[in-house]
Amino acid sequence: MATLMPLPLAGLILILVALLGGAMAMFAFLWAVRSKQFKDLSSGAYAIFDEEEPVGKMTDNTFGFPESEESTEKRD
Amino acid sequence: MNSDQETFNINESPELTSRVLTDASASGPVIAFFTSAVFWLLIGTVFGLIASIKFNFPDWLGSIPALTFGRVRPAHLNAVIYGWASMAIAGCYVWLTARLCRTEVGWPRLLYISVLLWNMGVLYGIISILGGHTQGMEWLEFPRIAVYLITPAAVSLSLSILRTFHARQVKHIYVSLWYVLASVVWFPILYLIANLPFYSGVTQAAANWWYAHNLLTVWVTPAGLAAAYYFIPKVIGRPIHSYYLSLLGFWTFALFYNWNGIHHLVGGPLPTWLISTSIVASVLMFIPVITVAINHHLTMIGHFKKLKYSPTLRFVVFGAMCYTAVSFQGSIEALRSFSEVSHFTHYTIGHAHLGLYAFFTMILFGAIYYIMPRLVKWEWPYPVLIKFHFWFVALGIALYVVSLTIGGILQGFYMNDASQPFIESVNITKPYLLARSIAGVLILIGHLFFIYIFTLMVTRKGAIRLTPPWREEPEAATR
Repeated sequence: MATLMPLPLAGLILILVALLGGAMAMFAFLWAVRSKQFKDLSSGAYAIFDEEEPVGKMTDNTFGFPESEESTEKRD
Repeated sequence: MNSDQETFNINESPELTSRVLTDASASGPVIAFFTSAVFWLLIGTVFGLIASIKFNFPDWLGSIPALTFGRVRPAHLNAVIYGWASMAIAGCYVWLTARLCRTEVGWPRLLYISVLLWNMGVLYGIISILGGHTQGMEWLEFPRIAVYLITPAAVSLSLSILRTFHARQVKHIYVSLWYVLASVVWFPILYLIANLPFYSGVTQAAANWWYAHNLLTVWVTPAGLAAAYYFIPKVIGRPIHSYYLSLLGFWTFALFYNWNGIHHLVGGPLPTWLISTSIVASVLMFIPVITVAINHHLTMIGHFKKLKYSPTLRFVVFGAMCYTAVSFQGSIEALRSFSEVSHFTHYTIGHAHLGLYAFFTMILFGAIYYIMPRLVKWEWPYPVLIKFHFWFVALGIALYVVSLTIGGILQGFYMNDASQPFIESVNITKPYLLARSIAGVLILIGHLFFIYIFTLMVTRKGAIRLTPPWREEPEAATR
């Protein structure tokens, strides 16, 4: 594959892209701090639960249930 | 669409309704991504097994140019990375983002375009490789036309996910979502930069391994971790043990992991500082890895008996444990002293499969087992086949990694021993390579079980079962 441009110029572009990427990550972090993403860490872990699927409820029982050991049930 | 929404809204539970709506909006594209992924998994496994058997019987299929080792091996790698892994990740990301943002999938049409272009790209790429056309760099073998197809596919996926994120109905960004966002922002940029046409010589090797390792950094590993951080607590019904550690883990991961690539070139003709920097960053990876390991273990503690009831949990916990193992192994492997023995041996292949299979692929199997019933509104038929799938691939990959680790270390010692002729370092590996092929057969059998029940699932066939939580969902949710 023929080179489009000399390596130093390509390197310069890549360094700029890298700096831009680093800046982007830093802004993402600062934005997260400012928008209080790290403020209340104890409640963040509960974000995946809700009233229908609360803490304490298993949500995958393809192999059966602890109480009944019954995995298959005929549909009515 | 509107009449559907009205039917959903009749239901008294708004949270359940929104989850059903969210899942329904992800349904089409995610099923398309997963089905494509499973197809490429089969192709990739078959190529992998052919390549492995060639080590045992070097002349086998040697007369067919398309099936010589130099073509089958990259065909295996590219089929599993860009076919299976990438499209499984795409499906998983689309569903996870919608769930975690509690909103519908944004710009779903872009996702159909993405899945189409992605399949065309991989198909063109694999056929080109088998026909002898390749860019000649590991992980970047695909010719340019395939790159031109896959790059817009990746950009479309990212745009759709960022759109979903923009429309989020929640304030808090859950840890899994951080991984997903970092991943979809960086993957297209990485893929594009690596395929730019101005590298040559040593720079090309550096760019090559910068890319190959960062594909793990921004694509494969975040997907595995995002899924593990969601599915472990979600399935057992218990929040992450230390949420603080999980976020510390994410940001240290983001800071250290992208420097790791050049450790692939330890001993190579690159500036020493470049390699040393990479080794230091590789060792620093102990920090995020330990936060993940502690967190997952302490979340699971007291709940291990639940592994008996949930296939998702089995696959994901197996994968999460292997993540700790493969990362510790990787950090040590980056050291110059260790590399003196392990570099250029089968040990590295064992390590790669511990990461991409035992960690990543197992977690994605778990994710697919959880996501599919909620999209298709159908229970997995024949749970016993899921157990067969698990045990065949778990034993297969264990045999694979153990045999190549032992064989690779022995090979390394023999190669370093000047008193031994080189052929002895080849002969010593023979029984271990045979074990690897047997492991490959076990994995293929496991995959056939998986593909069979996956096909039944997509077509809503097989034994009718109905277990919660589907029982309590509104009837309108079923297609």
